[in-house]
This record gives sequence, structure tokens and C-alpha cells, in this order.
Amino acid sequence: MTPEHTTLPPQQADGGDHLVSGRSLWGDARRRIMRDPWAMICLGIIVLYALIAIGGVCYELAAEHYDDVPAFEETSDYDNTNRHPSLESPRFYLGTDWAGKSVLYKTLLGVKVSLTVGFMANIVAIPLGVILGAIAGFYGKWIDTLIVWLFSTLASIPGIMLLIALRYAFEEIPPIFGIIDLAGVPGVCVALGVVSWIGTCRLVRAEVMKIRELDYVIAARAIGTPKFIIMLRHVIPNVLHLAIINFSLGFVWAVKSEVILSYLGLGVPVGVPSWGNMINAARTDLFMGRWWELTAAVGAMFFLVLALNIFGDRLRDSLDPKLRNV
Amino acid sequence: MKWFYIIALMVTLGLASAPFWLLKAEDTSRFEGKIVQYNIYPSKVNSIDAVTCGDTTSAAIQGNFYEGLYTYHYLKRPMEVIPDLADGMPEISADGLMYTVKIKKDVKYFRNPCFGKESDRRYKNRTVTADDFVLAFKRVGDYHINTRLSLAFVQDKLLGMEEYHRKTRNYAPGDFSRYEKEDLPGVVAVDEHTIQFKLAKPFPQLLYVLAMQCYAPIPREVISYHLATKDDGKGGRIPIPIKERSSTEIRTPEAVVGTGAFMLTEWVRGSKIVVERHPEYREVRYPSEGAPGDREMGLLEDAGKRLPFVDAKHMTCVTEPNPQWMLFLTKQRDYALIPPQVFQTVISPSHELLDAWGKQGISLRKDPYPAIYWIAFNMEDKIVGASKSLRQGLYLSFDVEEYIKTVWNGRGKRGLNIIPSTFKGHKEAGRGPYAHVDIETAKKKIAQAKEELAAAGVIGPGEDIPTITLDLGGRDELVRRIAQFIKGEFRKVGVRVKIELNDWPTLLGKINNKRFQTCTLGWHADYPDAENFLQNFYSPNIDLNTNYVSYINKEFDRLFEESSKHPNVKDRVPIYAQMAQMISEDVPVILLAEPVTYVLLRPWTHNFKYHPIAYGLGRYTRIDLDARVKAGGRK
Repeated sequence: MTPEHTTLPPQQADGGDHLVSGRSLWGDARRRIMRDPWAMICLGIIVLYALIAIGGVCYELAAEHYDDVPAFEETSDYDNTNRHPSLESPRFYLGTDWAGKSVLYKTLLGVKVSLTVGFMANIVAIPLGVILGAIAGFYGKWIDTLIVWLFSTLASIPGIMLLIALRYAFEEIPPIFGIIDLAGVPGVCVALGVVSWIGTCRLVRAEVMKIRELDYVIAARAIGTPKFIIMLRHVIPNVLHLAIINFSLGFVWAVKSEVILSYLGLGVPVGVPSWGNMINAARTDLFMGRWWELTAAVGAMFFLVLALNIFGDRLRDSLDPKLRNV
Repeated sequence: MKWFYIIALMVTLGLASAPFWLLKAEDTSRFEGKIVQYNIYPSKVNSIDAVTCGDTTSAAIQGNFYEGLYTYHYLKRPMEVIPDLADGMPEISADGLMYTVKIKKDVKYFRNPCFGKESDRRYKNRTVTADDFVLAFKRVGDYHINTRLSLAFVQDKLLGMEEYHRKTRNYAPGDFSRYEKEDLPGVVAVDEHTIQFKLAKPFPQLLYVLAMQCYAPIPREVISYHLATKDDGKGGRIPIPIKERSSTEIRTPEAVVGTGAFMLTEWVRGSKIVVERHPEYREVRYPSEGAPGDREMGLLEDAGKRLPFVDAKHMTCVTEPNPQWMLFLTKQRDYALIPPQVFQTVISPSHELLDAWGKQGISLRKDPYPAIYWIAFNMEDKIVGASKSLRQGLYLSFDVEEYIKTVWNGRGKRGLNIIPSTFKGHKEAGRGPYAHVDIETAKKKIAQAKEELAAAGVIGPGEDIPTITLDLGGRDELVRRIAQFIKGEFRKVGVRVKIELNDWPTLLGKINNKRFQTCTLGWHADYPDAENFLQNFYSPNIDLNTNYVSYINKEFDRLFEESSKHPNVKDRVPIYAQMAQMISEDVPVILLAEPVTYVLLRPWTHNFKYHPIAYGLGRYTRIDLDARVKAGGRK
């Protein structure tokens, strides 16, 4: 059995004078999303941010390998520090910071960090949540008790405190294989991932407990399919829509958390352009009436978070059959 | 249901207005009719015990109630040491190894239960004796008290101090009989009011050390009463068994028994400190001489008047610069430093006070600060320590002037050599050969460094210099900007930097355990002698962690030892200059800035003159209470 078996029965369309072929859950969701203009606008914004992030990666690679491409940290211009936004040059469109670096460029490069953190944190959190939730819900008994105990314990610790504790703990760990430095961006991703899998795990566990009693699962058991295979082939595929919805919502949370961590001085390393670092820096500049760095970072984050939230909502509406007629 | 809404509304309103009902305003009735100076302190006070003082905030607070044998003249510059509790300058033996000091006979401690009660039920007090100084130095050498800083200055200088430190280890922490049983031959009470210091080796800077308040006298009664006994619940005291004595240090305000102008009357940890006038403070008068320009600035108007001028000092702990500044703007403070972020709105590009502030009667004081900030290299590191060319190249790449302008709002000047510009020996040492920007030469030096490191097998042929780790203390925005600036400067010559932000204890831990590659730090003078800076590079001090860069140069060590044999500073200056030049050549540190302090004073604050070394000079400040109240300040 595959997700196709859970699709709705063939529907009538165009006045019901002919039958249309059956659609899978995914195909139906895709069709609904594509018909929703707001969802498409938000998706466009997300894609735009993703392209900017890819551009940022390309720029950093170029700066790494070509001497004539200056790295961002080399773009300080001390004759043009704290300049108001102006149309004089693209560099000054959003003004400059304390070191004369372009706030526009900094904001654009910040997209890379935010998207990386949002994506990677969910890459850690979602599989963890789905796998543990599925195991707990499907096997039940002591395994369920253990996993519920684990996430209940973790959930009882305030998220931001746990994040801060993990960041401090990671500072002491030497780079893994000499490459993955948990004191830097990877550490932020892992910390966010470790903290944010609980919601997904709870949802998936509840859904799996429901699914395991359905006829097709009982039938699979009856014909002697091993439990692990049933879970892998027939149960988990039917909760993947939850994973996708949580991915989009978790993305927003990760982006916001990175900003909070950087604001607290525990986020991405110093000098790496990120919105959190920009907001942290602007905290003191606001006193002097320098509003542009804060505005740029908050504005960039606002549009991304809004787009992700709306898109996540629409995705949930499309993937959850129960919500379709709400 | 109707009642539900009414109750809900009442609960909501009650909760919303709770702060106004429940938060009480501070009771200031006890200050009625008194002149109170209001100020802040920028970080937690870690110590109220003189011997454990190791940070500037604690030292500034302790300066109110503890005093040393000597102090600095409040107004004169260059700084001049004058007697405080001592009755005159010391007699120094011909070989410079024995200092005899007479103590004033009218110095009284604060009244305290440890001295017993008078017939009128007031607590007793007593005058300071030479034995109290002996006890103070014994506590400095006590193994069971964390006296790292105060011990560092005298450990190998005072006769028998190291041995005393070793011997006290054998006692239980709560066994205070060690103060009587063990002798400290380096500090001897000749009679009730005469004390003698015997040195293991010449140390011409001893006078400056004796001007530190961490060697303030302590009565034995304080130990016996506050640390060795406890309240019996019936108004008496019972001894605490030795094993149960929890502290060897003074940690409660009741146990603070000093001789200073102010008594510690309230200490709310991490929040508030109140000190009030010591009613039996000996007769100390405002100086009648000063430095050139002091008279014109009105600093001699109170010449000859008895100190202190204020009745109490009320200090709150405010760690963030913005609230500190807001308290000044709202006239809740009498003077303030200027936070970097508002500097340009207060100070003109020519570094004068802007007219708008001058019209409010606010005045500006600018004073050099005897400190140098630097980027330190761990000389034991296989990269930065092994290659002199690398350190020289990084020094040449660093635009210190731009750094001071951009990061410090121009509040400082470039450090040209390891001796501060206000100290003797600075001019003679001259500008270091790498204390300028020269990117081309820097790149050549870096290329040379690569060859050196490749030859030593540290890196492969043709490989780049590995990323250097820079540790900084603090996580605030200023520290982050310093880090970014350094990263950008080193990048100009192709050297990458990894930034590690630490809280202070972590950074100090890394430094003490030599677990750093480079770090930003500096040195604030403890006394006005170049030796205080040069000792940071004397190799026997590696074990004491003052030479935390682990710089080893035998010729430097020889000259350092040679300099201590000359009691006259004029004879030491050429030696100091030679040593400073060695540091300039070997670059164990990249010298950054010598800071300048900018202090804003409200018009009702008089006699304020920043002192670069001494603490506890608040006794000289006068507040015009009427003017403050009229201007809308605090009563």
C-alpha cells in the first residue's frame, strides 16, 4: 500500500457529465496550491529569497577563490561610515553601518544565513520528530513511554533556555572531523533542530496511533508483513504531509530563533552578515537615530516570515483533507 | 456570568496596577538634610575584603572604606605619592632592602561589635596599630584566601612571604591561629606605631605598592568575632568549630571595619551600595597645591577644608551603558562617562563639548588613562609564537589610528611602545619599528612567515597561514566591533581570523591555562612606573600568569633584574627604554590604544579630578545640594 490508496474517490467535474481520473493526495494538494494566488505569491517570495541565498553562496565562493573579489569583511569603507540611505550608488541604497559596509549587501547576505539555519534546523528536527513519533505511536508500550518521557522532559524546559544552554555547550566542543564547527552556524542549526522536533513528534505519534488501527494496516499485519516494513511503507508515508507542514512552520521559528540567538550574542559568529547580528548592532545605533540597519534586517525578515507563514497555512489546508472544506 | 466578568475585570485591573501598589519607592528619609552623592557602578562588586580585591569596580567601592599606608596627591601631576595612614615618608636603608614606616596615631576604625560595647551601649572602636598591618600582610600571604592580585605584587619581594604562603597551606581553612603561630619576617611591628618591611631583593616600587588599599590594616578582632564566632540567639556569641567555619574572607557589610572617610552601611548584592560618613574620621584636609591649571578650573577653591564634603554616597549597579547615560540625562547622577554610541552627539569633531551641553552647565574633563590595550600572542603557540615575521607582518597591517577613530570615537592615542606616554621611559624608548601601517612590507613579512613555518614543518610548502583564533572578553556590541575590525585588518594580508567571544572568567581561564592563540587584552597601571608594564614580559612571571604571553628573552630578564637595583628612577629609565625596544622588535603584543577618559560633570559637582591610579578619592568631591535641587536633580 502506498499513499495513493488513501486518495479520494474519483470526483465529478464540469457538471458531472464525465468522470475525471483519480488524483493522489500530493497531486491534489499541488493543484490546490497552484490555484491559490496568495500561495503562489508567497512561494515566489520564498524562491526569490532562495535565489538570493544561492547568490550569496556564489559570491562567497568567488571571494574565496579570486583575489579581485573582496570578501564582505574586506569591504569596510571608513570614509563612509553610518551613511543615510541614498540613491548615490547601490552600496548606499540602504545606507552603511559603523564600518562603512553596505547595509543592502549585508541584508542580502543575511538571507543565506537565515535560509541555511531554517533549512538545516528542520533537516535535523523533522526526521527526528517523524521517526521518533512514528516509532512511539506504532510500537506503543515501553518504547512509547520512553519517547513520551523524553519529549515531555525536553518540553518542560523553556525552549530559549535550552537553546542558550546548547550553544554554550557547543562552544567547548572541537570541530567534528575538523570540519563541522559546532561553535558556528552548524551549531546553531543543530541546537535549533534538537529543540524543535518535539512538536512534530507529538503530532506524528498521535496520527500514527490512529493509522495503525486502520484496515489496510491490519490487513498488512494479517498477511504477515513485518512490523517495521508496515511502519516504513504504509504508515510513515501517510504522515509525511504533517512533516511538510511542520517543515514550513518550523522554518519560520528557526529564522526567528537565529535572530534572537544572534541578538544575544550566541548565534552565528561575529562578522558573518546575518539579520540577528544586524539587529544586535543596530540596538546601540538606534540611540543615535540610525534606523536603517534595523529596518533593513527587520523588513527582510518580515517578508520572509510572512511568506513562509502564509505558504505553510495554505500547504496545511491543501494537505489535510479534514481542513479542505473549512 | 455577570459576576464572572466583573471579577475578571477586577483581577485584570488589579494585576495591571500591581506594580504601582506593590513596588515601594526607596526609603530615603535617613538622608533627610544630608548631602548625598548619587552614582552608579558598572559591574557587580566581587569583593568587600581588601586583600581579595581584584577588579576595578570592587577597588573603587573599597576605596571608600579602606585606606593604605600611602596614597596619591589628588591634584598633582605627574602623580606624587603622599602619606595616608603613614606618618611621613618611609626611611629606606642604604641597600634598599628595609623600609621603616611610622603610622599616624589618630587613625580610628569604624565602631563595630567586634570591639565590644561602651557603657552607653554604643559599639567600641580603637586606633590602628602596626600589628594590624602585619595581620593584613599575613592575610595577603594566606593560602586559604584568594589573594591572587595583592599577593602577586609582594610574593617574591617581601622576605619570607612565599614560605609563609606555603606554611599556611598546612592549616585548616578555619584555623586562624596561623596568624599568630606563623611568622612573616618581611613585615614586622617594631612598636605600636612603627612597621618595618624587609625585602628579599631590591624593589624600588615598594612605595607604590604600599599606596594600594588592598594592603589596608585589619583588626584581629574582625577575624575573631565575624569569622570565628556566631550569634547564640541570646545576644551573645559562641565559637564556630574550626571545621564549620565557612569563610576565610570578609563577605558581609557588618564585617567591614576600615578607617576610610565612609562606612559601608548597605550592600544589596548586584543592586545597591550605600556608604555614609565615618563620624570619627581623622582630620584630613583638601590640598592647597595642585597641577598647573587647577586653580583656574576652581579645583583649589576648597583648599584647606576638612574632608569629606558629602555625607553619603548612594550607588546603584547599572551595567548597561544606555541606562547609565539616561540616569545622567535625567539628573539622577552627578557625573558620567560618555557611551560610545552617543559620543558624536556630545563631543565635537575637535573633541570639545558641544555648545548645547555647555549651555546646561555641563562641563567636560579629559584625562589620559594610564593603560595600553593590545592584541596578545601566545608565544608558546606553534604558529603565532613560532614566527616573529608573522607577528611583525600583522602589526604592520593594522591601522591603529583608524581603529581608535572608528571603534573608540577617537578617545585615545596610538601606543608607540609598551610604556605609556605619561610614564618615564616612554620618550626614550621611541616609536616601535612596526608601529605604523605598511601593507606591502606586511605582505612580504607574511610571505616570509610562510617560509619560516614551512621550514619548521608547521605548514606544508606553499600553504597559507592557518586560520588564527582570536579570543575576546565580553559579548557586547563594542567587543563585536573590535573583533570585526581586527578580522578585517588581518584579512588585508591574507590572514584569516576566527573570533571567539567569551565571558570574562572564561577568557581569563583560557589565558591562565595558555589555551589561547591570540587575545585582546591590555594593562592598566597599578602604579606610575614603567616596571609595572614591563613585568608582563619578565619570564619568571610566566608562572604567576602576569607574563601570560609566555615571552622569554634572557637579555630582557637580565635588564629587568638590573633595573630593580637602581633606587633612582632616572637610572632605571635607560634600562626601561632598552627593554621596551626589545618588546617592539619581538612583537609579543600588537599595541593598540592608550585611552583617554571623557567625563561629563553636572554644574553642582565640584572638585572632581580624575585620578589615573588611585581609588577612593571621592572624599574630595563636593556637591552643591541647593544648586542640584534647583536644577531639578535629586534632593
